[in-house]
Amino acid sequence: MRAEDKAEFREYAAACWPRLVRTSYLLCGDHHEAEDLAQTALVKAYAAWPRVRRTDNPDAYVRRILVNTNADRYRRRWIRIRLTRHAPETPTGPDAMAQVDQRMALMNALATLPPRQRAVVVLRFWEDFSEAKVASILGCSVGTVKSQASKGLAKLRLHPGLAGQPQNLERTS
Amino acid sequence: MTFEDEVRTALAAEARRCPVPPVPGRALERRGQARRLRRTTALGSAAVTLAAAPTAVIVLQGGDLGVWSSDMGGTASSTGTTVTTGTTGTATPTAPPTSPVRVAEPGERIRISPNQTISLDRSGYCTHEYDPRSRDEFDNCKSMVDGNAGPGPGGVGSIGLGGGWDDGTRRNYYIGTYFGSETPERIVVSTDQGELTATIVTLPSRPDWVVFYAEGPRLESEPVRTAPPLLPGATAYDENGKVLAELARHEA
Repeated sequence: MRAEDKAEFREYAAACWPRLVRTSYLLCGDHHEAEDLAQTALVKAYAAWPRVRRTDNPDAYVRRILVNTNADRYRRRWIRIRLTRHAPETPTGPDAMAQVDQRMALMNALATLPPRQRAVVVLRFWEDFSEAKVASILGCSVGTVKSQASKGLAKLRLHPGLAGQPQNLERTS
Repeated sequence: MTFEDEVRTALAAEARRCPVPPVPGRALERRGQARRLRRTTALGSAAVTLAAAPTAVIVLQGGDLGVWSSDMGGTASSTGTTVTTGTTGTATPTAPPTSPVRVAEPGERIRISPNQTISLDRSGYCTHEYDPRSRDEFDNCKSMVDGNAGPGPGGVGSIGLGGGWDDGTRRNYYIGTYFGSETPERIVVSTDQGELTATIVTLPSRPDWVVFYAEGPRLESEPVRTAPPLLPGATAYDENGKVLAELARHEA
C-alpha cells in the first residue's frame, strides 16, 4: 500500500474508532467483544483500503464490514466471556437495584432481537443513518429496513425490562 | 417524545457507557497487511485447487501491538483483559498435576482448538479463529504492555480468563493470561464440569506474563448463548501449592 494510503487510513481509523467501538458494543453487547469487532472490521478495511477509499462513503462500507463480521461471529457461536478485576457492581439498595435493572434493560432487550434486526435498530437509531443508507449497508431493500425497524421497535416496546419507557435509562446515566 | 426518540436517547446513553480504548494502530496495520497477503495467497491457491482445505495461515512475525500514539483518537480506559489478584497462600490437594509448559517462538502458532490458534510476541498475544464456513480468519490481538493489563497492586500476581464454545467439537475452550514474577507451576480453570489443568505458553523474552489454555470435556447439550449463572474461574499456584493469583468463580 502506498504511503499516502497508509496515512489516510490512519487518519480515518483514528477518527472513526470511538464511534465504531460504540456501534460494535450496541451490536454485540460486550465491551471487549466490541473492541475486537471494531478492530477486525478496520483490519478488513485496511486490507481493502484502496477500494474502500474510492467509494463515495467509506463509513457505510466499514459499517457493512462490521455488521457482516458480527453476523459471522454470531453464526460461529464462539462466545467470549471476559472476567474482570472486580465483581460486578453491587447495588446497595432497592433504588440502586432498580437503576442497574434499568441500565441493563436496553441491552437485554436488544439481545432478544435477531442479529440483522438489531443491526437495523442500531444503524437507524444510534448511527442515525437514513433508511436508504441502512439498506445499502445491509444489502437489502428500503422496505425491508422499514419492516425490520418496525418489528424491532415493537419488540423493544414489549420487552418487560423497558416496558415502553426507555427514557428511564437516560435518567440513571 | 416518540418511542423512536426514546430509543435513540437510550441507545446514545448506553453507547456512552462503553469505554473506548486507544486505537490499536500498529496492530491494525500489521494485521491488515497480513490479511492482504493471506487473501492474495488464498486466491492463488484457489486457482490451483478448489478442494484443498485452507488451513495454511500466514505466521505473523515480530512487531508490537502498541497504539500509534496517545493523541490519535479514543480515550484511555481500563478495558484490558481481566484481572483479580490473590496473595494469600493456600494449600492445594496432594500431588496435583502440574501444568505443561510450552515455550513459544515469537509469532509461532499454537493450536488450542480445532479452529483456533494463538501466537505471542513481546508485546502481547493474538488469537486466530478460522471460520470453516466463510474460510475466513478472525484475528484478535491484545497488548500486554499498553497498561490495560498487568500485575496487581504491589506486583502481586494477576490472572484473567476468557472462553468460548465450539459447535464442532461441542466443547468449551478457555484461554487466559497471568502476570507475575514467576511462571506458575500449575494453573487450574474451574468450570461447571470440574477443574481443568491448563497448558502454559511462555515467551523466553517475557518471563513476566504467560498465556494459558484449557479444553473442557465434550458436552451432550448445547449451552445457551447467554453466559452461565456462574462464570468459570482460574487459579495459579507455585511449586509449593501457594496461590499466586486467583480469579474466583462468580455470578454472571
